[in-house]
Amino acid sequence: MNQLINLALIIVILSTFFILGMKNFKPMIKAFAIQAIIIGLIPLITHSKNFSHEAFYLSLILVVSKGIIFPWVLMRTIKKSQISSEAVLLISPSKSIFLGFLALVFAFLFSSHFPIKPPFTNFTIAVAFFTVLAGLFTIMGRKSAFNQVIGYLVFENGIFLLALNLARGIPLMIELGVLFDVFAGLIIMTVAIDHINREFEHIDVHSLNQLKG
Amino acid sequence: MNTLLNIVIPLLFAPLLIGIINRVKAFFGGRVGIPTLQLYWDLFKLIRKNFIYSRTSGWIFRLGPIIGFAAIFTISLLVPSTTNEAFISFSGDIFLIVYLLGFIRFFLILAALDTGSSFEGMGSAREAFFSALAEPAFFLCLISWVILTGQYSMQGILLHTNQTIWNEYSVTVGLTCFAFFLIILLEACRIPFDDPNTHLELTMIHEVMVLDHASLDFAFILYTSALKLWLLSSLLIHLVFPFNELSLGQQVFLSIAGILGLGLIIGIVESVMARLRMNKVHQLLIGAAIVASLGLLLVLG
Repeated sequence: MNQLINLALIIVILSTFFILGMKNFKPMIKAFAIQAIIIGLIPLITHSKNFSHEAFYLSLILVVSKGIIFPWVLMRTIKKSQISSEAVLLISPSKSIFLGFLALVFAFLFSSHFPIKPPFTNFTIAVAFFTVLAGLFTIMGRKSAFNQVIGYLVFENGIFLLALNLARGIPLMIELGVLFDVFAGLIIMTVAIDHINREFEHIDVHSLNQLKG
Repeated sequence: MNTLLNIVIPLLFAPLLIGIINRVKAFFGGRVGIPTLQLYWDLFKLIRKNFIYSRTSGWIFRLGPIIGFAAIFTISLLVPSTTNEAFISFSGDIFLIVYLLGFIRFFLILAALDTGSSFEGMGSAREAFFSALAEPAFFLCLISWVILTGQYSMQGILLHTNQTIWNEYSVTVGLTCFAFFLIILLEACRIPFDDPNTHLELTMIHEVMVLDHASLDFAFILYTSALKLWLLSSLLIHLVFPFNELSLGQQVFLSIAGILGLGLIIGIVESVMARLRMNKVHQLLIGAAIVASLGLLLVLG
């Protein structure tokens, strides 16, 4: 069972590296979908011994909403707003992946000094922190606002992973509350991107600085 | 007897592996293809030909292929490719193996640069860059295995890989074997890193380095690359199928069948993919290094 959790976490790490190094949006959204589905299946894996209905419903909601609905909304936004499918990266893909690797090492060093011991392995905290850092890096290192939405979603994935592994039992209400928060944020962000694109003909966040003053 | 088999069987069977890869590629292309034993006939033909040396080349050009063959023969003494006892084994010989591979490449690059042509210089630059990216991946794989088995020699690592390690650390072994497969594809100059059949000068990496060598030198170079593929594949096969409880005959059979099976897989990979663009090649190598390091982090954590 330990091996299964390790395998799931390895897939999460690899999909995060994939998101860090990609230029096109559609493979990035697919990698995010894979990440979200695997994270959604982790409650089932960790609670496979004492099977509880809450774990099953949580997994189902996570997989359906983050793995299917969110990528579908994102793909529709690309088509409706006619955003160009290529992202402009401020940092080249090879350097992004190398910096991601440094972030992974840092996350490992950090997790060994974490005060709370997770039930299974220290590996889960390291992966969660790495996903958070990678999401923040995606927000910082890209020009298009759409990329920042994906970075925000990856960041939320990391926080979910941390919460799922540190919580004793399943705090269903808290998880659903956070999920609803993320969902509402996503809807607002995609509507805002659509309006900005229609008004200014681009969604380059660095040019949006001209709105000041 | 065990240790002599390790030396004799790669020397005898290595060109057969190249023949099988070519046959698989021909099958995927709907052709009959060249005969499976073609590399043997090519080597015999090349031995009987005359030497040709250009006036700009010096002694390094004549020395390069000989050193390459001598180094790969030394690797065959260190790697237990067929049975579980190597001819020479000492603590730390894994580093000697990696550096001997680099040694072969270094002298082939020097021999290519000695011709004075810029075309060979371009191929040498590409080859040096890609192998420099592959070395960290190779070392990370080796370090993972050293930590898993607690042994510092290649013979020790392969002896102590058994079913318990597979059961407990299956993700690590899987990740490092995948990274090692990519390294094998690079060292043997196969797709997705280099196309061995290309006629286009723009896309050559290893072929352009060995373009000027004639008869016996070229025979040495072909034989060296076939032996390199055989010996590295034997490492992968013996990690995937632990063989320390089998009898001698079973070990020999499993080694040869496993390596030829890996040749089948390499042929399939060659047939379904194209060679990657140059900038994607080094991204793939960095990805292989990251995959190997993930395996290492799992073991350390």
